[in-house]
Amino acid sequence: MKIIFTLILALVGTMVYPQDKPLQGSFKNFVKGKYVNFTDFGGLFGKSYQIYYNNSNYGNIVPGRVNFTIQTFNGIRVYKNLAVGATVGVDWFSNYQIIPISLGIRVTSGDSKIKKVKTFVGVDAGYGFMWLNDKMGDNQKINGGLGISPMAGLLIPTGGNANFTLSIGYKHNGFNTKISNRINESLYINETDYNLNRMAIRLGINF
Amino acid sequence: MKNFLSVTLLMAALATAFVSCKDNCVQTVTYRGTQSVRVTLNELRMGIKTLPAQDLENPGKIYVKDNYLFINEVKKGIHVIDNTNPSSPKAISFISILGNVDIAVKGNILYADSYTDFVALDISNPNAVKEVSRIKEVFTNGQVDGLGWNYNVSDQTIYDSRYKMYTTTQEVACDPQPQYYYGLPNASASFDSKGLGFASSSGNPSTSGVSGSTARFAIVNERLYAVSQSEMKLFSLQNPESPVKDGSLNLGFGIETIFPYKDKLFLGTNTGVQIWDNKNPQKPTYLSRLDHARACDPVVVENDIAYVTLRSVNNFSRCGGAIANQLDVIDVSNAASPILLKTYEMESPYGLGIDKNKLFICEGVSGLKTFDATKPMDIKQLQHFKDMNAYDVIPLNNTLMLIGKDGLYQYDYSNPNSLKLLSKISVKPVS
Repeated sequence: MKIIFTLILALVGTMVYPQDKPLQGSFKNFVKGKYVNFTDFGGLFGKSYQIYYNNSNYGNIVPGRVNFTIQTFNGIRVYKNLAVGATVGVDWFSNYQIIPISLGIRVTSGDSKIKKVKTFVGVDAGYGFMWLNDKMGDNQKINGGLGISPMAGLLIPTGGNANFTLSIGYKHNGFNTKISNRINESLYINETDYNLNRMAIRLGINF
Repeated sequence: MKNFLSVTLLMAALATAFVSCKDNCVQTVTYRGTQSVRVTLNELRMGIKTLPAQDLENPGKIYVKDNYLFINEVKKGIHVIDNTNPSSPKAISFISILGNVDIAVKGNILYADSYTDFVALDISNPNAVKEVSRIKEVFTNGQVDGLGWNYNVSDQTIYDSRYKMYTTTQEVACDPQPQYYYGLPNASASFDSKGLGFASSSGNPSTSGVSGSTARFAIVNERLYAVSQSEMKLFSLQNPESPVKDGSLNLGFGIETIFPYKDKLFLGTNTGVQIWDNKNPQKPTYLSRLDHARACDPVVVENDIAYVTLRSVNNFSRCGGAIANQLDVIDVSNAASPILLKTYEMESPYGLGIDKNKLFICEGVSGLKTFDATKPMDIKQLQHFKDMNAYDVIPLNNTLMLIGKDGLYQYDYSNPNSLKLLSKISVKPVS
């Protein structure tokens, strides 16, 4: 847990630092010219659906769900409007919370100096860690898995150097839980693969 | 503006596409269940075959006779091992006997159960074992490894079951469901019918062998005693090649083991220890009993002290719901009124064995423990071997034969403070 907090603090630190103090020339220039940040929050929307069990007419309805997500992308502009960086966030699902740590790219359109509504696309791909979930018994395991999130959205100028963002995208989180019980000779293993596929709608800021 | 419009359109398209995103969760459950098995009397009596030596798969009870070691392969037959040199035991042959669980040997004749039948085999040549006699339909039910079988007279069929691993895969709702224990009819299965080894403090070692388990078979002089759930069957071995069933005693419920000591028979039941007087081998008479909470309890006796292990497993169906795991030390010098001397805490004791105050207790998955039992009131633990799954021992002439889920181990216990591993026959790895 300590690692996570340190990581998050470091990221938040890089976000707020420029506003506090006058910077040394080269770093200031770097931040101005190269550094790109997208920080946003939103909802992960899942559709309701029906599960039919094998060889029976019996099924049950799984209601649609909305879950909360936050994330921050920190990167550097490597080519014109293309920025490459790392994305860290938290996705709150009802029984599990996932911390996806991803590599991401963001591509914005148009000249960044012109103050008008612009567009951007991006994609994050990485691994979802399950660090936030309580340590379960020795017979239970939880493994993180692939996280992927492409998105497209609008950049709306705030008036300063920053933009508000509004994006829509897709978010996949995968993970796996395993419970194994052995009572004397008896064995019971329950393994579940979770594939959470959601529509992600996010609001945030970019600078 | 055109650009803005096209992106808005794109976003609308994406929203339409992504709104149908749905979660997908797949649950795979693997568990051990049972599968029914039917054996007709014709199949049962197809004949007993001697096959080349085979790997151990699911070893059961063990039995020692002279230089031979017999390891039961549960419900399949008997491995014959030449154990002249315990450091390198040699597998000789495998006697295929359907439904076999118990064994006893006297002279050259091996007595075995085969589901309902009681068979006598001539083993003078272990590579060509001959069936010399068969008493039909003696036993009507039994229980091994927590699985019971029954004989149905009307259709002459034995209804048995075996363990089988099942795997089911299905889509589930992604919010984790309450945990259902899918068909765990045998969660409580255990080796209650295997478990006890004892030294040759009884019987007639020169002609009969040493039993190494909860031994439902015991040979005393010219007589073989076989206990089933509720009965003791007596077989006369006057003519060893053709044993005769000559009596049956009703014992009550839950009889598990028989241990002959001097002129007494000690019966381990799942409600306590029963002591029967065997002065008249034709007709043993009931002497006394010492009851305890229901549990699985093999018993061994040495120097008028009986050692009983009680194991509580999640096994209400079979052994009762006792919550104790313990070793009881009982003074049986007056067999008519046994006295409980002391109780020692244990982990999950299965079989035990004693030889000249050296006490060996199998603790199942917790391995083997050795004790100095010179003073019954102050039994001291000497060693603990952890990395084995032990359930049955025979300590005999400084060689400890130990059977467990993972194979047969032999130790030299001439120095009880430091057992020396002589050899191991491993169970065939599950492929």
